[in-house]
Amino acid sequence: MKIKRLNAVIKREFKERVMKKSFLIFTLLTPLLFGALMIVPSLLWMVKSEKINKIVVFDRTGFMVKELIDQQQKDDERNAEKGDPGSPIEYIRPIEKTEIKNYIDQVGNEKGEIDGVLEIKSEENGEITSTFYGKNISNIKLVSTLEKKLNSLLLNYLLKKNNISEKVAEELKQKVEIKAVKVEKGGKTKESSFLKEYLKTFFVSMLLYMLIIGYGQTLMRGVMEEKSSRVVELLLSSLKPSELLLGKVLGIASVGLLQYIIWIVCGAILFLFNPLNFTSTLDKGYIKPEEISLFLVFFVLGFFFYASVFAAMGSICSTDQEVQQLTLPIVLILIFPVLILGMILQNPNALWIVVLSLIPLFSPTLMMTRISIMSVPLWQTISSIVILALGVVFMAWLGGKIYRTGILMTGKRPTIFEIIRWLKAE
Amino acid sequence: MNDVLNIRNVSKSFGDKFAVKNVSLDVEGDQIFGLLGPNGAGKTTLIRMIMGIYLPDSGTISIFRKNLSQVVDGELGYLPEERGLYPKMKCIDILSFFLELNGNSHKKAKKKALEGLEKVGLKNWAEKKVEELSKGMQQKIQLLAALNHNPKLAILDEPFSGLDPVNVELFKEIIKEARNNGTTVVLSSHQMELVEQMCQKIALINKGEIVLYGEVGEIRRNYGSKEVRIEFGSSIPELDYDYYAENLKKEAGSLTLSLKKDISHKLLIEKIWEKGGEIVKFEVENSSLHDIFVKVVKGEERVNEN
Repeated sequence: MKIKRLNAVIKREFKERVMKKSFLIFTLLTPLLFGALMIVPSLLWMVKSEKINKIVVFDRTGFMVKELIDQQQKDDERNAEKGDPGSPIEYIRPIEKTEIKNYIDQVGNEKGEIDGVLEIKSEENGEITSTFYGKNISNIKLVSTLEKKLNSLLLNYLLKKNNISEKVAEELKQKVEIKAVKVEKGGKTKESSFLKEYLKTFFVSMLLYMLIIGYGQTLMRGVMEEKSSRVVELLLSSLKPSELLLGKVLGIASVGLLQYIIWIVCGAILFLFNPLNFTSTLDKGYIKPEEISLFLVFFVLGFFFYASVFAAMGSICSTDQEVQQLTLPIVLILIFPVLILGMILQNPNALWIVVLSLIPLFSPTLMMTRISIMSVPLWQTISSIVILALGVVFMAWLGGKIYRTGILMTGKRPTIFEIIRWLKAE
Repeated sequence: MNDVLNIRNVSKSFGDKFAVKNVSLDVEGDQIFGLLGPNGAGKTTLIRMIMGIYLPDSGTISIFRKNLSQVVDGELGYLPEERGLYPKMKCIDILSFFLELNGNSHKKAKKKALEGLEKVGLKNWAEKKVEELSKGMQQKIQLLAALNHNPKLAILDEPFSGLDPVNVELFKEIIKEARNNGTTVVLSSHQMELVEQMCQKIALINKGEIVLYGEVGEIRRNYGSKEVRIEFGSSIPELDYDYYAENLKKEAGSLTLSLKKDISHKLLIEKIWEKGGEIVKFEVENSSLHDIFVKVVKGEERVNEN
């Protein structure tokens, strides 16, 4: 192995990738995406829909609808004083003797004026149930507003009906809100919310997935390009295949590192100088320093592990189509932690998740996902890294062997049996 | 002996098909060695083995009396038959990259790359991407990649294929210049005239085996016909031609014959003069390597058919 030759390859790869426009675009876009992921959901939550929702209320109980309308009037007046548009709902009483079905049909009619129909019923056992027929029932906010209102009206009604004094009624309306506090290693605590945790974890695993897949495919395309442009023969007259492959892997990995460093520096600047009050939406300790370094470790090792796979695939394929077929399983394996993020968040210590996070195929993304959710026991982190490092060595041997033979092959893609024969050959 | 390349009993097969069969040859220093053969004869396989891209199934290849793995950076230059460069790289960058791979520092590589581009008249294209160049220009870059680092041994696989006559001359000049600067060149080609003009020694490969090997002059003497055509100013003098030659063909005022072995042109001319013959034209039909090539390859086929 000649360091000088290796250097020349690393330098060439690095220069070629960094000079590309796509590097600049991806480097800039990812933080923007990150910002969007953090901010957009909360913005969406805050944005009040301008449109007034017109809802026809079929009240079979006889007391709810009047209260609803009165309440809304009071709310509107109060909101007007505060200059707050409030929740714009207009309740409409149905025209007498019109069937509910007619109104529901109108909701279905796209040009119809009515956005929803609310039916409130008294069951025989005295329970009150309600159904909402809406154009857009995924508007959680509207449904939850209606629900809250009905509940409070019901409570008021019941309290009044049972002759409970207003004072007691107020006390009864009290609610306890739970503030979630996450306990870290060493008893450190931090406030957080499910949404924030989910977003961060989603972002971490998604980013790691994108980096490994992205740079892995860059490597694969590079290998394919050298093969199809035949330059590889000239290269191999001055280099060993192992030197060429290692040089390419290291060159591309350093591009990834550079990109990561740029992000960290940008992040550090944002936190230190805090323009646009950026940090206000994030808590201190939202991202832990060890997360930043472990992310790096898992990116580098994960990339090295998959690099051998991608290089081997690039060396046996000659068209994009062939490559895409072969890439699919790898994409699925790497994206797996993102797909089961919900399950991981609920129980990041489930036995099967712990076991999977130690297996090199999954460990880069899965272990990092767990680390970003919870304090993973040290032994698990270390064994995951050690096993992954061993996996890297094994894959380098396996992939290198396929690469060495495949890179000079022309014509048809080799069958799996031929590849096994290459592996057996010395 | 100034050994540069020694190949001993090298064989290589792909599956059950022999590509190269028991080939032995020696290339001495400071010469241009020609590797000839029809398409599919095994030239490229042999060259790839010399460059260490394929491993021989049996036999040994030594370069400068060393194993290929002991060869130092920059001692070898290579122009592969399958041309290929990084299409998106600038000419200057790709040349300096290969110079660096062959042991030059970054600075020196850049300087040498520019010099090389100037030599082939592509100085103004230095900052252009390879894919923007015409095929001929790309081939010049490829030749530079093989020779620019002054290797001790350069292997050029079909360096002239696809070139126009002007560029063939340029390539010949560059290759000869490299030889004069101490590079031993092995080139493969099936353009016989070029090989004849440039090479001191050749090996003709057919179906993976060497069928002809040696100095160009010697091969011509041994394999070429010795046909002579004589035109006379007067009548054809009486002489026992059958004693000196065979395949005698008499025409009005001219004679075509093949000299027997051991009979020189000089001897025949002296005998004719003694008899008072007046020679207007004495033409030796020197059979070219091309003819020898065709004769040997076809002869082989005939032998194989029988």
